[in-house]
Amino acid sequence: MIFDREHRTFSAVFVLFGFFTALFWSVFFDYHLVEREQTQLFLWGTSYLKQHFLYQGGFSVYWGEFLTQFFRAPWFGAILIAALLLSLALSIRNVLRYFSQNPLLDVLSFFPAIAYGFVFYNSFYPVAGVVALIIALQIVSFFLRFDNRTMSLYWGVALLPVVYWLAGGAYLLYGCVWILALLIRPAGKTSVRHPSLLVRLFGLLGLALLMVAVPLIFRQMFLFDTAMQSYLSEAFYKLRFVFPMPVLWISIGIVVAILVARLFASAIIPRKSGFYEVSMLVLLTAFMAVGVIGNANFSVERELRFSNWVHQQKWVKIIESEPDWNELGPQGRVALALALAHEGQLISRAFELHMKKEDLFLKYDLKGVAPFLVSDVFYALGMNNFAQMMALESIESAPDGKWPARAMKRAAQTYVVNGQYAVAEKYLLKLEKTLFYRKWASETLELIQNETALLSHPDWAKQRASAPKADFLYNDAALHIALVHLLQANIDNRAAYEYLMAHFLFTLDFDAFLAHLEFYNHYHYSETPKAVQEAIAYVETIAEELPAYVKAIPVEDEVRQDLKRYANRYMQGGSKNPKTLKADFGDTFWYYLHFEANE
Amino acid sequence: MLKMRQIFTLVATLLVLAACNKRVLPDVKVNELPACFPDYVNVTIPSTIAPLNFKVLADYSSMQVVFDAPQGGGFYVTGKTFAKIPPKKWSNMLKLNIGETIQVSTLVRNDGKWLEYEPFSLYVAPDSIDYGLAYRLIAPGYEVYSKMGIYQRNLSNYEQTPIYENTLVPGSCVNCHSFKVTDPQFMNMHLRGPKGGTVLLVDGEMNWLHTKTDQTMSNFVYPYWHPSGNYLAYSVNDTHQVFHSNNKKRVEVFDHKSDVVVYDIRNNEALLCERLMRDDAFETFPNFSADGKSLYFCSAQAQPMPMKYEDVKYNLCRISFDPETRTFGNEIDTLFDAAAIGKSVTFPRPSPDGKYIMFTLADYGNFSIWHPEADLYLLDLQTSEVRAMDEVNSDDTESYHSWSSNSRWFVFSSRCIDGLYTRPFLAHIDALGKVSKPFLLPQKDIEHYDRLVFSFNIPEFINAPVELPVSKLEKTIHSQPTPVQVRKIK
Repeated sequence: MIFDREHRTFSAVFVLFGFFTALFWSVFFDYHLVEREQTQLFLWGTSYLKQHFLYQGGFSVYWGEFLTQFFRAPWFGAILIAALLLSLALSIRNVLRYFSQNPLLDVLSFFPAIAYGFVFYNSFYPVAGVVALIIALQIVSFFLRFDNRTMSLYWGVALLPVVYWLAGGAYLLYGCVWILALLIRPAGKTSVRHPSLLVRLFGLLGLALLMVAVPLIFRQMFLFDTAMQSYLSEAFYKLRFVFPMPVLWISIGIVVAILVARLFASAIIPRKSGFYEVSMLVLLTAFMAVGVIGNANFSVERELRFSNWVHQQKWVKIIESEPDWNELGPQGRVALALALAHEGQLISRAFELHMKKEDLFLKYDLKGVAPFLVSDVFYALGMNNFAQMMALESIESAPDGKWPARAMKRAAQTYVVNGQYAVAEKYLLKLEKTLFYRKWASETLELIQNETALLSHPDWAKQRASAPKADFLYNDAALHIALVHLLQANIDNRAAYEYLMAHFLFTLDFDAFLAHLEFYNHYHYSETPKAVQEAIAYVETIAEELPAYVKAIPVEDEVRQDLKRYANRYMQGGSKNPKTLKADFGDTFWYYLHFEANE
Repeated sequence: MLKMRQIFTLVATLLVLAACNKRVLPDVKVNELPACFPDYVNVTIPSTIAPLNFKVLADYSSMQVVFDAPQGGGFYVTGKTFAKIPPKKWSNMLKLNIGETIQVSTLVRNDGKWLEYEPFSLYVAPDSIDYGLAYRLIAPGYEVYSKMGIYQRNLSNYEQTPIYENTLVPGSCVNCHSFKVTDPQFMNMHLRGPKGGTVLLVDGEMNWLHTKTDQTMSNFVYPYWHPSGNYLAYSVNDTHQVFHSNNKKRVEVFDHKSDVVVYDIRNNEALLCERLMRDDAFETFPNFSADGKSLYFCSAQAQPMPMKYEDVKYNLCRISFDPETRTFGNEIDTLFDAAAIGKSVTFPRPSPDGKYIMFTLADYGNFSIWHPEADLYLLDLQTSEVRAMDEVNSDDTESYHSWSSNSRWFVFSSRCIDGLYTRPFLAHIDALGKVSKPFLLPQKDIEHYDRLVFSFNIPEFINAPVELPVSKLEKTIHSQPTPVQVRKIK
C-alpha cells in the first residue's frame, strides 16, 4: 500500500530523509547532540513535571527535555531527531489531507520538516519547538476529521487556549490552520457540510480575537513574562529576547504547503506523475543539500568534540586526532595545549604549532555564556576553586536558565574536593533525580559520608593534593602566578609545569624560565624538549653565566649550529624579510621570539 | 465474590489508615529535646506565621507531633518523613494562644516502637509581624545571571510570587529592593545591564530613573528611604570583585571608592555634600534615623585597592540632616569605632522606633556576606552600648538584616546551614531588647532548603503585597529613564 504509485514518493522520501537525518546527526553532528544533553537537566518526578505545567508551552518544553536527555547516547539522539522530524512531516501531512485528497502532494509536508532539521543545527533551538508544532498540528487535524464542521469548529476554537498552554506559540499555527479551514472547503468530502457564512464569519472573528487575546489574558492572570514571550513561550528559542524568525518562516511554510496542496490538488494525477515525482525528489534533495551546506557549522562541532574530550580527559585521543592547528577554534586550541601539557609535549610542540599565550586558557570575559571548557581547563590543572567559579558561571549564564548537567556535575565535584559536602549534596540530590547521572550521584552521596574513602578517590584525592595551599586572587591576566602556586603545592603536577614553562617562553620571560629550569629534572623528560634547547642555546649567547642546573640540561650541537645558521640568515636581511626564514626556522623558538611574539 | 474482597480490602485499608492517625502512646521516653530541621525548638513566633513544618534528624518510619495549647485549639499530626501541619488548625491554635506558650511533643516510630522526646515550647508573641518578606533569589554565580528575581512571600502561608524576574530583561541583574519602613507603595529597585535604571515607586506611582550623573562615580547603589518618603539616601560605589584560590574563601568584593548622596524625589535632584564625598574616605550604606533628622553611614579610611583590601575597616558614623532645608550638619560623629578594634561595620539598620541600630561586624571590608566571621551587633542608641547578638549569631555568616515596622521582629540572612546558601531567619526582640532564638522561614516542603540552589538575598519586611503589574513594569523599563539632576549643597 505505502509503495503504490500514489504513495511511493512520500514513502521513499520518508525512508531516505529519516535515514539521512539519523546518519548525519550520529556521524557528523554527534557532539551537537551531546551538548544539548549537557545544557539541560531533566529531572524525574512529579514536581519537575508540575513546574512545566505552570507556564505556557511548558508541556512541550517538558517533553522536549525528556527526549533530549537521551542525546547523551548520540546514536540514539540521532534516531530521535529523525523520528521527531518525520513525526512533524506526518503531522503536516495529516492536516494537508483535509485540504487536498491527492496523496501525491503529501510530499510537500517534508519541506517544513527538513527546514526544521536545519534549524536544529543551532543548539539554541530546543527540541521543544518541534514537539509544540506536532502537538498543535495533531490536535487541529483531530478536529478537522469530524464531519460536523460547525461543532468541530466550536471545539477547535474552544481548545485554542489549551493548545496555547500545551504548545506555546504553536497555537498561532493551530489558529491559522483553523482560519484556512474556515476559508477553504474540505477536499473531496462532499457529504461534509461546510459551516454557514455567518458561522464562518463569527469563527474568523472569534479566532482572530482569541489569537490576540489569549496570551494577554494569561499574562494578566498567571504569567510573569514579556509580551513577546507571552505569545511565543520558551519552547522555540533559548534566548528569550530573540524572536526565532526561522520558526516563523517554517510555520508560514506549513501554511504555504497547505495552500499549494489545495491549489494543485487536481492538477497532479497519478497516471502522469512521473515528471512531478522526479522533480520533487530532485527539489527535496537539492533543498537538503543546500540547507546542510548553508547551516551546518562543522567548526562548532569540532570545538564541541574537543571540549568533550577535555571533559573526559582523553588527552591521547586529542593529540592522536592530529587536528590541523590552523583550523582549530579557541576551544580546540586550548584542548590541544592542555592535552600536550598532560602528555609532556607542550613545550616541545608549542612553536611548531605557532601557539600563543592566549592558547593556554580559554578566555571568558564574564559576558554571555561561559563555555564548559573554561572550568574544565582549571580543573584539569588542579585549580579547583577557579574550576568551581567557572562551573557556577556556566550554570548561571545558561541562556535559557536551565541547569546544565555538565556544569552541575563539575560544581558538585569541586565542592566535594573542597570538603563542602552540604553544598555538594544540593547538586548531587538534583543529579540523583536524573536518568543518567543518578548512579554517579548516589555513589558520591554515599562517598561523602566516608572521608577515608574520599582520601583514596583517584580523582578527588589528586585534586586535593594539587590545590594551592596559599591564598591568592584570581587574575586572568596573570594566570602564571596560579601555576606557580600549583607547583608549590604539588611539584608532581607536570601539566602545570609545562604550562608555566610555555608561558615563560611565550612571554619571553627568560629570568623566570631559567629559574624554573631548576625543577626540570624532576619530570624526567626522555629527551630535552626542542624549545627548551633552543631557548637555552639562545640564552647562552646573551647571558654571561648560566646556573649549573641549566648547564646540566643537554642541548644538542645541532641546535646550536641551527642557531648560528639562523643568526646569520637573520643578520643577512632575514630580520626585515621573515618569509625567507619561515621555511627553515618557522617552527623554532627563535622565529617566535623575533617575529611572532609581538604579533 | 471479587466485589466482596475489594470492599474488605478497602475497609481494612481505611482501618489501618485510621489507626495510623490516632494519637499514639510512647513506648519509650527520650530524655532530650528532639534535633529538628528546621530547628523550631523553643522559639518565639508571631501569631500569623505559616505552619512550622519540620522533621526530626533521626531514623524513623513515621512521626507524630502533638500541640498542647493552654487556650485550646491543640491538635496532633502524623506524618512519615515530616509533620505536615494543617494550616487551618495551626492558624486557629495560634490565634487562640497569643501571649501563651504551646507545648510540642514529638514522637517518632523506630523499630516498631514509639519514642517520645522531651516536649519543647513555641511562644506565641503578642507582637504582630508584617504581611510578608521581599527578597532576591540568586544563585551563587558571580557575574552573569540568567535567572534571578525579587520575590514576595506571604508570611502567613507559603505563597511566593515574583515582583520582578530578570526574564523581563534577560541577562540583567536586579538588586537593592528597598521599602519605606516596610511600605510597598514606596519601593526602590535597581536594574543593571544595558537597559539599566532605577525603578522607584512613590506612593504607588512608578518612576524610572537614570541615576548616573557626571558628578557621581556610579549609578545609585545601596538605598534607604527617608521616613517622610521624600528622600532616599544612596551610596555610589566603584565596586569590584576578585576570587580566592583557597578553598576557605571564595570571593572578595570591595570598593575602589565610594560616596554617599541623598536623592530628593520631589525635585529629582541628587544632593551632594562634600562631607559625604571625601577623597580620603570610603562612605557607604547610608540610613536615615527613625525621625529622619540624622543620616547614619559607614566610613573607612581610603586604601589603595585591591592591594590593601584587608585594611579597609568601616566605622559607623552619623551626620545630621534637615529635610526641610535639605542641609547636612557640619560635624560627623563616629557612633562606633570599629577600626579601633580591628573590625568593620556593614549594613547599619536603625529600628523604626529609634531605639537601636543593628549592624554586621566583620574583620574587614563591606561585603560581609562572604565573611564567615560576620556577626550581628546591636547598638542601643539611648545608652550607646554595643553588644554582639549571641542569641542569633552562629559560627558562619550572619549578614543582611531588616526590622519589622513595629521594631519587634527582625529578619536576617545567615549561612549557618551549609556555609554557602543564605537563608532567612526571623527573630523576636521585646520592648527591653531581649532577643529570642531565631527560626528559619517556614516552608511547606521541608526538603525545600535542601534542594534550593538559590540564596535569599536582602530579606526585607513588607506590610502588604507589592503591586507592580508586569505589563506596566515592562513598558516602563523599555522607556527612556529620567536623568537625575545634581545639586551641590553645603
